[in-house]
Amino acid sequence: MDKARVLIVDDEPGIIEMLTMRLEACDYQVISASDGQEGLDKARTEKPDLIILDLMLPKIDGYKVCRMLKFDERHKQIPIILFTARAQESDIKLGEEVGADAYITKPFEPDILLAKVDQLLKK
Amino acid sequence: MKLIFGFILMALIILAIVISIGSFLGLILVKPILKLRDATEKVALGNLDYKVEIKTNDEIEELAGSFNLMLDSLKGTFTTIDKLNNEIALRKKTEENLNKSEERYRLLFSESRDAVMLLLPDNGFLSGNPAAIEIFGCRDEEDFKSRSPADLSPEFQPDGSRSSDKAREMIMLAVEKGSNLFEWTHRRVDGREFIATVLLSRLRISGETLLQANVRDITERKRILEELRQKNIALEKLDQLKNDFISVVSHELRTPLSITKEGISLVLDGVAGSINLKQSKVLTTSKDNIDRLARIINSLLDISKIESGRVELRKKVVDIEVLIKTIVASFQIMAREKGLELRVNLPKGQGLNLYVDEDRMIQVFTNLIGNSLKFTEKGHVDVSLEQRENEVEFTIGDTGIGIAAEDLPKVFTKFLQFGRSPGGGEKGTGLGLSIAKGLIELHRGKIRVESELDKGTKFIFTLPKYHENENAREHIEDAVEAAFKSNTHLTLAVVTFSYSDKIKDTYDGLAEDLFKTIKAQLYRGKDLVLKYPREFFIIMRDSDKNSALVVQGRIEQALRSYFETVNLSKDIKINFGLAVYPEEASNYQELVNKARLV
Repeated sequence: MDKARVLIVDDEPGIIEMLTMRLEACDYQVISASDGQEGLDKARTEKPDLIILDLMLPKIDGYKVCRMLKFDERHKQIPIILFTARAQESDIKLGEEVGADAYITKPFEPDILLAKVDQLLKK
Repeated sequence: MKLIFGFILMALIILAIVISIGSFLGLILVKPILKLRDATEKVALGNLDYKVEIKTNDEIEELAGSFNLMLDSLKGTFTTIDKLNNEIALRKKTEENLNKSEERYRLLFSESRDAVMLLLPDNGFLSGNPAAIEIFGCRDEEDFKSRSPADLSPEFQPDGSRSSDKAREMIMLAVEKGSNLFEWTHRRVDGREFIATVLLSRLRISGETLLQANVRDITERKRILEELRQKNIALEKLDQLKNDFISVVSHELRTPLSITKEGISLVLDGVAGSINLKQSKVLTTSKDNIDRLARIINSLLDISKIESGRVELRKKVVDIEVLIKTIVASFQIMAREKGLELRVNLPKGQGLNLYVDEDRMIQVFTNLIGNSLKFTEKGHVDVSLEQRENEVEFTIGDTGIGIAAEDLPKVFTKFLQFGRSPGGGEKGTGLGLSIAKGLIELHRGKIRVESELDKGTKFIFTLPKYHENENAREHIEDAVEAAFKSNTHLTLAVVTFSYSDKIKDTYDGLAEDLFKTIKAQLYRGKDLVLKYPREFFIIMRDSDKNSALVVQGRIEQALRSYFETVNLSKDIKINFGLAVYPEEASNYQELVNKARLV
């Protein structure tokens, strides 16, 4: 069976670097994008199995990226984990509204993140 | 001789007779005169009521009569004089009082720090006290009297109206209503302007209408008020800035913190190659401290949110006993490692429902239990609850080092970690207890502390009890508040049933099924249905009319098919009322009224 492919969209190279290393160690294949536009493009062309999406992104913010994918019949089945430093209740609510599957706040526990990824991919 | 003797005898007899007559006459004549003399003496002594009684039938009786008349008249005169004297005394007293009062008023007028003046309604000053002359910068009273109210004002008032027009209007109002208090901009003779409060009072003096004006310069007061207002705005801005600063910094710190933490974790987990024990120890310490930093940042964010009122409670019905057991279980390892006994003492029952924000409650209990474990070296930590009439009281007690009496009042002060040196373990932020207090108060509860040095500490807090049937108001008000804050909609549905007599007696048994049927149609966790003897309340947060209508359709459909299965379709009818915040109603009462009416 092919390795599951995870798309990381984050404008922080450090986050991409660390997450890539962690996910690859757990036998996932990782692709990345550093702004909302690139993230949207890669989600559409590469068709990843799961997306880890930062909220505060250049060009198109994470909520918009999430909504555009979730309201699109062809891509709405891709699970999306919103990944952000913002943890206000209203942000979480907004996340629910745009159809995100999970929400993880920074700084994150690797175990929790991996468990979520695992759980969403099994569905 | 005989003749001479006879003559002498005769003479003697005649003499005797004469003497007798004389003394008889003397007696008759002298007595009334003596009476008169006595009377005169008595009258002279002031006895005017005395009456002379002489019945001699002669001039003396007449004299006595005249005397008595004279006495009467004298008495009359004296009474009049008395009366006059009394009157004079009275007038004198009145005059004295008048003088005193006039003096007092004169002083009031002349010494008053307020400018006081009398004027005729048609704009002429009659008089002004020294303060009035001074406030307008006039030379003397003559100078003052030569000016009119409009002369002592700028051409226009701050509201743009012409001073002379507005002055007339104010005076007319005072004449009509009896008094008129207003703010006025005056202009002194030297041209300087000042803001004053003016009180015009109508006086009526012998048919004439006058106005008394009390003028007080409030320029300084206004200036100070304005200064205070500005300072207050600046302080509020500063406070906002502080909260924004904390919020932004906290968020900004999270990304680098995440990267660093994940980097260390990756190395520690061996993902970046194997490491030796020494390296692992160093990295573990680093990671622990990054976790600590993250806790501090979270606490800072929490406290700034609590202080600025930006905490949004996500309340729901929570079994607090289950929650306590779970939290306590998570602390058992830590307690055992310290050799402490961590005990839970809950009343035996089927759980206890409270209407709270579960995550925030976890935070409160975690802070308090963690705090107790931290400051206890031997013995035990007890978590217990007790039900009171309207609230539930929780106690977290320990046998730890205790808090000195002088430190007790400071326990909930943020950033304060006094004298207590924790026995190792996680370092605190000095914010945990203030956060717990803030969160408890947001839930309309109270917290207090009891402690004795070297004996132990007890944190006792209360939360309001939850009565499902009495909580509609609280639920709806919370939902309205949340909708207001997040600028979203809220829909309240009231569902009632009209039914035939046939099932009148069985309705109560049916109600539970109806409740379950309705509940099953609410897919979102934030929707809530409350059951009452005669109606059901459905609170749909974040729902405008259209989405509520969708839910209504679903519920009605489900209810109808339920009625079909129990063969009651003909006997029961559904009434569904909706009210939407903010379009149709703006508070609890309006929502309920509107939804019931439909």
